[in-house]
Amino acid sequence: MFNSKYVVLMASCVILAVSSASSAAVLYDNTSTTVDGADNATSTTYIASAFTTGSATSALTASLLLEQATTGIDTVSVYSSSTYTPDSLIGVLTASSTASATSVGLVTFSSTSLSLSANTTYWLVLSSTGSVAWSYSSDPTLTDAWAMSTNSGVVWSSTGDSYPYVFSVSDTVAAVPEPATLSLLGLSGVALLRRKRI
Amino acid sequence: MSEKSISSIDKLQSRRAALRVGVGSLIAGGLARVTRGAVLTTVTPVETQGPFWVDTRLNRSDVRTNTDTSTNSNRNSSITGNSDSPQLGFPIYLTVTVSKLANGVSTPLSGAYVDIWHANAYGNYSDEAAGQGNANTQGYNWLRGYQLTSSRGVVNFVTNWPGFYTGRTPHIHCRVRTFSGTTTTLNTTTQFFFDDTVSDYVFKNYAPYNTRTGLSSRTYNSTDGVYNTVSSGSTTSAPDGSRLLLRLQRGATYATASFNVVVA
Repeated sequence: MFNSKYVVLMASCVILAVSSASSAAVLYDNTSTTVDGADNATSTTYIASAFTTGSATSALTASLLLEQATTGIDTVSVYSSSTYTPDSLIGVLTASSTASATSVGLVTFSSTSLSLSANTTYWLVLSSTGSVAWSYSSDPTLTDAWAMSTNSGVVWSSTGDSYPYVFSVSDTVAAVPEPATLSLLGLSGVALLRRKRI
Repeated sequence: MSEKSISSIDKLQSRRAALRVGVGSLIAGGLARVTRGAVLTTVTPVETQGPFWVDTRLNRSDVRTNTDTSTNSNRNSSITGNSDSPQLGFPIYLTVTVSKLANGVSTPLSGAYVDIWHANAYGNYSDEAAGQGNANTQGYNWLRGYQLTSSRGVVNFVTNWPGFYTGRTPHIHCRVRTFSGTTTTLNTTTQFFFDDTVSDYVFKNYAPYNTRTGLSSRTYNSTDGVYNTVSSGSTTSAPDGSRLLLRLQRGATYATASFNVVVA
């Protein structure tokens, strides 16, 4: 038979576990738009697109619409932001797959070890040891920031806010326990202490 | 951060929810256009080409050098700045994206000729005889050139921050042309303007602008005749210049600037 104190304790732990689970939020997604062309990223030509965080996060997942032109290792990095261009390197995302050489497709890159502030603009920066094409859209309703460097990010010599590159980005945020959950946690602690005294 | 840059970031955030649609249909070949309210629906104000346009047909991205090697008896190398190649000044990486508006929808205009020309740090245009406030710069072609737009409608230039001269606020002239054989099918001009606060910073802190006199009496956007034009047919009473301000970021050693030109 279950002691009622055990029931309270177990229920509290379950609720706490559920409410503490991380949650993912889409920060930006234009992958439903029309694709009209692509620009190639290489070891010297870096292509970048901006996004803005919601909550502070360490985990980021980005999916870029890519097609490989020349075999190589494609890298997506996260940079801090100047007004309209990437600024400095924050971290590198790990690819879960490689871009196809025969068709355009979303390639996902992620990291759980970043340190991104809330409500702050960052940049995804694409480069490659080979050559990889990042699709852009000519949808005139999308006026999102992009930038390009032809000397490995030393100078961002091309910037704009029309016809952006196609990508999505989401974060993973550890949920903060609600006050009610904290109360239950307290109750479960009391129950545990009382059980030990019996 | 400027009002415009804040606006851009707000747009990024506000679109999060609106743009979440299945990727599967996109990759599977759907690639369907999502219908939303158009943003690039206003034709860029047309502004005068001014008196210093020269059709040099110089196809180059970096316009700061002189490539005129012809013998020109009127060339005067003793005029300050004339023989500087590249021209001295604060560099600007300028991106212009050209769109064609048709039936209420803008699309990138590829293969268009985009010319820029403007004054050097000393306030002079190249390839001009002395007059109208301009020194004799005959025999030089710096700070002029054109690029052809990519399939995305984009051209890039490397140039310098324009210097001030009597009666005008700093600006860059831009001409967009298309041709069909020898026939000109599109020919429009406009001018790009700068945030005056940033211009003043450049003029006070960088050579050779800060070697010049007359900064305190220069013309600002607020009193510039072209900037304050309101084009006939404009849907707003705002000065044209307020719609022709460059999207601008100044760094320590260079600036980046961009502008979306929409032609009818």
